[in-house]
Amino acid sequence: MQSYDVIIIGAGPAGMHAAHALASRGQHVALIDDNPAAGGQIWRGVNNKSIQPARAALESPHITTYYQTRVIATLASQQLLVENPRDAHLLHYRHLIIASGARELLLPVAGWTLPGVTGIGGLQALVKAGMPIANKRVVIAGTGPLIWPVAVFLRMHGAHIVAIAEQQSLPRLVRFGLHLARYPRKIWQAVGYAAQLIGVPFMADSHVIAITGTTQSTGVRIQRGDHQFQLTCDYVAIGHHLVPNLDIAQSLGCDTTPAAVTTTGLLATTIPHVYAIGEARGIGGLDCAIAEGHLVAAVICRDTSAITQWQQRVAHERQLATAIAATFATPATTPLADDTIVCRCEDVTHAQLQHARDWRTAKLQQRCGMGPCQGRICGAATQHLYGWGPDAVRPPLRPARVATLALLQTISTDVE
Amino acid sequence: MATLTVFINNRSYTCDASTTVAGAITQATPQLSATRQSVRDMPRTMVCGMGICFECRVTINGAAHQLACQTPVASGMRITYGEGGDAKL
Amino acid sequence: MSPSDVIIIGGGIVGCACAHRLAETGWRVTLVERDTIGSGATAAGMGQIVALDDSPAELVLTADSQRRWHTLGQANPLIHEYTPCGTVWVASDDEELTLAAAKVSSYHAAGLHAELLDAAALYRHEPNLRPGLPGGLRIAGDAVVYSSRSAAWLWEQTGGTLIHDEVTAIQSGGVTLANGRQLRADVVVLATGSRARELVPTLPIRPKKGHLVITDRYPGFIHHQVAEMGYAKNAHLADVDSVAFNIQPRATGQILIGSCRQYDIHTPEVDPHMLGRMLQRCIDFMPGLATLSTLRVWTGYRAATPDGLPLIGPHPHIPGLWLATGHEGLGITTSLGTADLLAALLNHTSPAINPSPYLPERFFPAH
Repeated sequence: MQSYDVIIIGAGPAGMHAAHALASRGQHVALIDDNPAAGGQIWRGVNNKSIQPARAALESPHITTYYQTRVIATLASQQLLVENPRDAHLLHYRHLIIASGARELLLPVAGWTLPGVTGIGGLQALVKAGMPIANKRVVIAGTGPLIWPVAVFLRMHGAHIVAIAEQQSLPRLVRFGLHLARYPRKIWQAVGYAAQLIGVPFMADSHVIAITGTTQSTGVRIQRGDHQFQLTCDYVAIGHHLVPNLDIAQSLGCDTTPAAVTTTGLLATTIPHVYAIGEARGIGGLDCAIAEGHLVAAVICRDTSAITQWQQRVAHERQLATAIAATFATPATTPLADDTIVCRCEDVTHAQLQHARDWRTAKLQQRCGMGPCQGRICGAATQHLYGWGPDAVRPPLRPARVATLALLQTISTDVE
Repeated sequence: MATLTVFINNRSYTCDASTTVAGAITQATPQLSATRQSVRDMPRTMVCGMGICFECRVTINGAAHQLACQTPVASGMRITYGEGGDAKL
Repeated sequence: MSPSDVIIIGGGIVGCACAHRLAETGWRVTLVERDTIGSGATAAGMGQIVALDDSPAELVLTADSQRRWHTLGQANPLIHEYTPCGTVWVASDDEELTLAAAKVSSYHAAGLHAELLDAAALYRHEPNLRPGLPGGLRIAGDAVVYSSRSAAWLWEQTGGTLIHDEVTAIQSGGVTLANGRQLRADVVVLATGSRARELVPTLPIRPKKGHLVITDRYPGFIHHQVAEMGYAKNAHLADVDSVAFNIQPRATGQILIGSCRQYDIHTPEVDPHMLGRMLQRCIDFMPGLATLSTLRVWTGYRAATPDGLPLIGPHPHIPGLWLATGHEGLGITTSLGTADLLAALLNHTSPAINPSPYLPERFFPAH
C-alpha cells in the first residue's frame, strides 16, 4: 500500500495550492482528481496567471498525481480505496485534505433533458474539450456568478449569445456588485466582462419555464414578470449556481451542512486529521480556494507565521463567499408540468414524485436517484423541489468496477 | 497541434490528441445530438461536462457505460453509441 | 359474520401479503409501519422467487409460494416486474453434481420443473461462468420480482388503514404506539422480520446481516439467477460468516450481486472486508463480472430461526398475537404462501399446505 504524509482529494485551485505549499515544506503528497488533468472544473486547460505557478509545481518529486482517479471508499485506519481506468489502489494518509470542489445545481424544467441543454459550466467544459461553438446561438440562463465568465468565454470562441436570463432581481445583483467593490481584482474582472459582453441582451428576473424541441433544443420559453416570450437558439446553458461536493466528507463522518463541510477557522473538520478547503467549505471562488490551500499547508506543517498571514487572507476572501451565498444560493423553481423528468437516470417524472411520502419512498417505489449519477442530480433537485433530505453516504462513492470493491477483501479485518 | 484517429460508430475521425471522447464526438457531429437513449427511450447527451450527470455514457473499446467527458482519446479508440441495447425499464 | 379487526405490525412484503389475504377474506386491516411500505428486508433483499429444498417443509412452502407468485406476476407483470428467469444452481465439483441429480427428483416430487445440466448445457444457459465447471441444476419456475413495489401494490388492494408509527408494546387486544395511542383489535399479526424480538423478546430469531451490490444495466450478461450449490449447502444453517456466489438479472438489465451472511452484527454500515470477500467469490465463478460497473452497495437483516423455517401461526402463550416472521432469506418468495396459511388458520378454513412445520409452538415447550 502506498502511504503519504498528506492526500489531497481534488486538483482544483485549492488542492493544487495545498499540494504546492506542502511539497515546498518537504511533505510527501498525493493529489487525486477524477479528471485527466489538474485545474478543476473551471480552470482546467485554461492559462490563468493566478494558478500557473501551482500547476507548474505539481512536477515536484514530492507530489504524486493520481489523475482520472476516483475515491470509491473511505476506510478506517486512514485509508482510501481509489480507482482509475486501469486498476484500483488502497492509499494511506496521515492527513487528508478534502478539496472536492463543487458541481452545478441543475434543476428540472420542461425540456431540460433534450440534447443541447447543458449546465453553464458544463457547456464551458465541453467547449474546452473541443466542441465547436462558433456561430451557435446560445441562451445562458439560471443564476450564479458563473454566468458572466462563461458568457465571455463562449463569445470569445465565436458563440452568438442570444441572451443572458438571470433569475435574480436587478437590485439584488446590484447589491452583489457593491460587495465586489471591496475586491479590486474582482471589480476589474467585472468591468472586463461587461466590456466583452457589450451587445448581449441581459435580462434579470427572468425564469426559463420550458425548453422546446423534439430531438434537440431549438428554443427556450422565458417568463419575466407577467410576460412570457420565446427565444430561438441552438443550445441552452442553464445552471442554478453551485453546490459543494460533500460526499467524501460525509463518508468520513465529518459534520456537514447542506452548504459546506463544517470546519474550524484552521480548516479542521470534525474528524481528526481531516481538513476541508475551497468550495467544500462553501462556495467562495478562486481567490478563496487559493488562500485556503496555503493556509491548510501552514496548519499541517505548524508554520505559525504563515498561519497568521493566510488566516487573515482567508477571512477577507470568505466575506465574498457570504455575499455570493446571499445573492445566488436560493434559486427559484418554476412550477413543473406533471410529465417533466426529475430523475434523468431512471426517467422518473414530477407526477410520480410529487405525492411521494419521502425520498426513501421515491427511491424504493420509483427508483428515483438509483441510477448511475447516484442521485447527484436528482438528489439536489428533489431536496429543492420537495424538501427531501439527503441520504447517508455509502461506498461506492462513485460507480466502481466489481474488481475494485473486491480489493477490499485485502484490508485487515481488525481495523473495523 | 497533434492529432490522432478514433472510430466513432465505426467511422474514422481525426481529432485533437489532447481532447476527451466528448470532445471527439462533438467535433464529429455538427450539432449536439443524442448519444444515448434513456430508459424510456428519450434522446440524451452530455450535460454537465464534469463527470457528475452520467448522461454522456458511451461504449469505449467494448466497455459499456464509460463517461465520454472524463475519458481522454487514444489512437485507434473505438467509440460506439446509440445502438440501443439498454433494457427499457 | 361482521368483519373482525386485525392489526398488522410491519409493512414489508410479509405484512403486506398477510394484509392482502386477510382483507380478501373479510378482515378489516390496520397496518402499522415505522418507515415506508416495502422497506426493511423487503427493500434490502434480492426479490427472488425460488423453490428451495433444504428441508421438505421448506420445499413445500417455497413451491406453493412460487406458484402463487406466478399467478400474481402474470396478472400484473408491469407492477411486479415479474421476470420468470429461472435459477441455475452451479455445481463446483462432481460431488455437487451428484447432489444436483438427487435434487432433481425431490423437486419433481414437489411437482416442480427441475433439470439436471451437464457442462455443455450449463454453458449454453450461462456462457459467462468460468470454464471447467461440471454442470448444475436448472429450476425454470423461479423468478424475480420488484419486491418493494409488490409490497405497496398488495397493500393498496386492501383498502385498509395505514399508520406510520412505531409499535412500542403489544398487549391483550391491541398495541401501543410510540405516540402513546392505543389501537384495539381481536388479532395482532407481528411481521417485523428480524426486529420481531424488539416486541416479543422470547422469539427464537436472530438477525443475519447481508450485503448486496447492484450494477449498471448489462442486459443479456446473465439470463437466470445464478448461484453456487454451496449457497444452499452452507449459507442457511452455518453459524459462521459466509459468502456465496449468488447473482440475479433484474428486469432493468441490472445485475444484483450477493451474497453473504453474518450473525449478530447490529450495525448497518457496509463491512468493506466482507463486501470484498463476497465480490471476489462472485468473480471467481464469473470472471466477467470484474469489469462491470457497480452503482450501490447496501446491507439488510434476515430474520433467521434455528431450524431455517419461518414462524407462521398463533403465539402459544400470548393470546391474540399471531406471528408471520423468521423467513430468513426467503421472505419475498414465501410471503404469499405465509399469507395464505395465516389467513386459513385465522379463518378456520383448510390451508393449501400442512401448517404444522411452521407453527411457532415448535419452539415453545408446552405449559
